[in-house]
Amino acid sequence: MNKFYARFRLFYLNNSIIFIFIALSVMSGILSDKFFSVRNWLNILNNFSVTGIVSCGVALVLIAGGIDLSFGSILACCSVFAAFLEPRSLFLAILLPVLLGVLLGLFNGFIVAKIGANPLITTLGTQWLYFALLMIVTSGNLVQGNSDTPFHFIGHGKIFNIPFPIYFFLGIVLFAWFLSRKTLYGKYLFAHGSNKNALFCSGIDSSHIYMMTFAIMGLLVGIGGVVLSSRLIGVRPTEGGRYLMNVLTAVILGGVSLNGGIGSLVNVMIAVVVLGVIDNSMVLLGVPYKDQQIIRGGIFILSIIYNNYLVNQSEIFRRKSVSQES
Amino acid sequence: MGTLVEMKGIYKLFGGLCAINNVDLTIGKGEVIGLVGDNAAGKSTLMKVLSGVYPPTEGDIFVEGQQKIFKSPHDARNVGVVMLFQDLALVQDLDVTDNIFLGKELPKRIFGQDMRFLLDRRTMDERSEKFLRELEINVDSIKEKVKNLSGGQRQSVSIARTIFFNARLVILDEPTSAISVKETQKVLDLILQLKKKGVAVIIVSHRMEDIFNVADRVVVLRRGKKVEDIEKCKTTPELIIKRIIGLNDGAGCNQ
Ligand SMILES: Nc1ncnc2c1ncn2[C@@H]1O[C@H](COP(=O)(O)OP(=O)(O)O)[C@@H](O)[C@H]1O
Ligand SMILES: [Mg+2]
Repeated sequence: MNKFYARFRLFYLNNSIIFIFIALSVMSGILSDKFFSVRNWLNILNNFSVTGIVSCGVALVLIAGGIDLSFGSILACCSVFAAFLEPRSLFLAILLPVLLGVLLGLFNGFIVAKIGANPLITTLGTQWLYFALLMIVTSGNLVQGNSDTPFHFIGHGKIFNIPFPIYFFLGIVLFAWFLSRKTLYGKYLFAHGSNKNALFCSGIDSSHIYMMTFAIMGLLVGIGGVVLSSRLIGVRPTEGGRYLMNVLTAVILGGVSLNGGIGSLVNVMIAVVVLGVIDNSMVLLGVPYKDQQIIRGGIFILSIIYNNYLVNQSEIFRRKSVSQES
Repeated sequence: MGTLVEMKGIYKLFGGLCAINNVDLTIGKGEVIGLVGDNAAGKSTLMKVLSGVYPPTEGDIFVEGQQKIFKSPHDARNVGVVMLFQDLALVQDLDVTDNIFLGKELPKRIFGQDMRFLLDRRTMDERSEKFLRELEINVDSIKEKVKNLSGGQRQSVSIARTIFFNARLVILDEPTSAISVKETQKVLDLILQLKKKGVAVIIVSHRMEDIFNVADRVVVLRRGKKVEDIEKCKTTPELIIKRIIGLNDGAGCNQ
């Protein structure tokens, strides 16, 4: 295989999510004539803004070589907290839930990065823990917010006819992209996920970076929680569970390596929109809810296979290009 | 040629296992030492003690006559002692520039102010490009991820990194074990370039021809003990191999 072709193929594979996106959109457009309206697209982005915000945070943790399964519970805690604070103070209803998110993320990060516990098991544990605490505090009841406070604007307002959550969504994507690509933190984030021994040998203690990544995820999940809360009139403690599947699918479909060190936030965001398109089409086509769940499960599994293929292909490219030169 | 580093009476125990048994080693400035020995002789362990990965169980390390205690590779690096591990030195998923500047990133300047958290990638790219050209190291692009380079290119880049950081003693553990013959020559050339710049090198290898190609002095470890320390011109590969496999000596670890 010639080297130029190999390189092209790798580029193509790394950006294949774009082709998936285009193919799906064309298909949906053929199946439903409402699909290509501006209104429908704003709808898709609006519906998936919380998923997008949370996915950014989860993607960062995966790039760092970890995983966090507790984001659903953190999201629920933050949005319930926001709903509780909303009638009291707009300012606190935004600030404190975000801080809570940071704190809960930091707790995960401390156990994983400083104590060195396995991230999968640790965050599975804190998922239960955070959820259990929330259930105790709320007694499992809906926490009623207030529907005409300014807080409501975050979830329902529009600027230039574009729903406000979309600005949040895009702003967070930009922030996370900038963080991962342009900053020293971002460089060490990838390096930690790829080879933390090399960092150690270069005299860099990357456990801070790792811990901070969980906190940053908590920050983004907290922001997602505020947006989520302001979209709903009352928040149920079980609200977070719905996001677990979508977010994990988006991150995996976006090609973030489950072994760390590889990932593109832009691709994750395209994956979020792909999921949005699929959801939207299912609604437009009137697919019954039960069938929708089966389709989502299927897509999750397909995403894992696709992700695995991508990661393997880049390994094969590596071996080929090495053997060519020696 | 003055003394750069001195290791005195080094012991390293792993539980009941005595990996290093009372070893002394002196390294002169700009000297190239070949460290050889059978598998499990303790070569890597001795070098890890020297570079701050492990503390010695007993013994002292002096750098230019001053006693040093290395608590981490960072401490060793600060006085110019750098170890390159078999494929551990580089981050495969970062590009060449990012690797060369790993741990010494240049911050972006905005309004005359250093922004420590932002990276000045352009300047770093320019410098690493120029630097690799000077050392005649060929990579397709400095934007290439290290995992897409050949084994020899990777080895060259990690050695280049040490020059870039003003290392005074570079330790190479089996640098040529996984690369082609042609690339081996390139790595050996780089070692001589290091020497020319006054950098001392310890090369750990089981390939006698590589050792005799570049080393000034050959040190043999056997079961944790130093059994030979001799100028290259006063010995031969055959004699060294005899020392490695322990003909005519009963050296071992007396526990
Ligand atoms: N971290 C460790 N823990 C326990 N034993 C070790 C460790 N590192 C090395 N050893 C043991 O010390 C001895 C020397 O190993 P090493 O220095 O790697 O040898 P070499 O590099 O010469 O092949 C071996 O018996 C090895 O099993
Ligand atoms: Mg070894």
